Amino acid sequence: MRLISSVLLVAFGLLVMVEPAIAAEGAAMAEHAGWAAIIGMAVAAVGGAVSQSKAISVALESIARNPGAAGQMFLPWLLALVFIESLVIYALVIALKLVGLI
Amino acid sequence: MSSAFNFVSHLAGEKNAAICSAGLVAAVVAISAVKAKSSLKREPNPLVPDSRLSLRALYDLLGGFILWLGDSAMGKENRKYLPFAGIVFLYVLSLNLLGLIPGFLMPTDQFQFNLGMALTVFVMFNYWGIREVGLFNYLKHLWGPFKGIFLVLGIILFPIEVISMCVRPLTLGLRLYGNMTGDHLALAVFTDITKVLVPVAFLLLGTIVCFVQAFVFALLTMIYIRLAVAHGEH
Repeated sequence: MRLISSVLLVAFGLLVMVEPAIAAEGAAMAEHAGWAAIIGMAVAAVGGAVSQSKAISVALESIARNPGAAGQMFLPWLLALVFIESLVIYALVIALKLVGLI
Repeated sequence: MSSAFNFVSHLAGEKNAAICSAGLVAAVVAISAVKAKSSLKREPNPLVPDSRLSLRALYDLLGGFILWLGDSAMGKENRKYLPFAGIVFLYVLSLNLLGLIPGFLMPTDQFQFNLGMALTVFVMFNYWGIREVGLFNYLKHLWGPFKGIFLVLGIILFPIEVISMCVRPLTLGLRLYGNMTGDHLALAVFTDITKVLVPVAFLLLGTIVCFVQAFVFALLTMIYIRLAVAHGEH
């Protein structure tokens, strides 16, 4: 019991000492928020573009093989595109938040 | 970038702008729907469409589209939930299109507003699901198939399913919000850079985004309803 409480006390002390360092790091992070937004948005756009192009090319191939199934495939395909796209949109929201546009 | 002039925030204040324009859109949609319905009653043969684009023809078009969407996303057996999903589509579409009129801002670029709409959808599909299959079966459905190894696996699956159920309203609202805000910002930036002709392309893109996002919102609403009211045979 004493061991646990002393460990907790030391941890708390460390936390208190580390806290100003974290605050300073936060200020440095705010400086680089623009870069973070650019890089994050770029990575999200690349990922979304690659996966959407894969989905589109597979859908077009299968429509070319079997044009009769195009109507049935349309809604699931659109839903898949929407789910991929929404991940990019989350990155966009975070990027806009980082640069303070919203 | 300065904030754009907005009639509604000019009249009702910056804080109330979103909710006031939403009420305006709701009033317009309701009044036009009632007018279309009454003109349908006055017609001697309502099956014959109008010769030109009137309010009734517009609602015929939208109704046909919503019926097609509902039948392919929810199935014909769930047609009793179609009015709710249809009005969600109409309302979100009108809210989005309001942003294209100069002097108005769409309320859908406020996250809180979208969260309100998404929470309405969340409450309704949970209520319908519980009413359709009962509370116990509804929870059992989240557990997964109720036999064999899945009885134990459900201990892991159940929290995951519950979390994915609870973030549905968040993602539903955030998707609409992100799309509308992003589109509006792109339009604003390109209008600032190039004053003529190029913004037209972005307005066209904005119109497409308005339709697609309303479509997606209604489609996801329908799919959530179908998943909730499905009778599991496993």
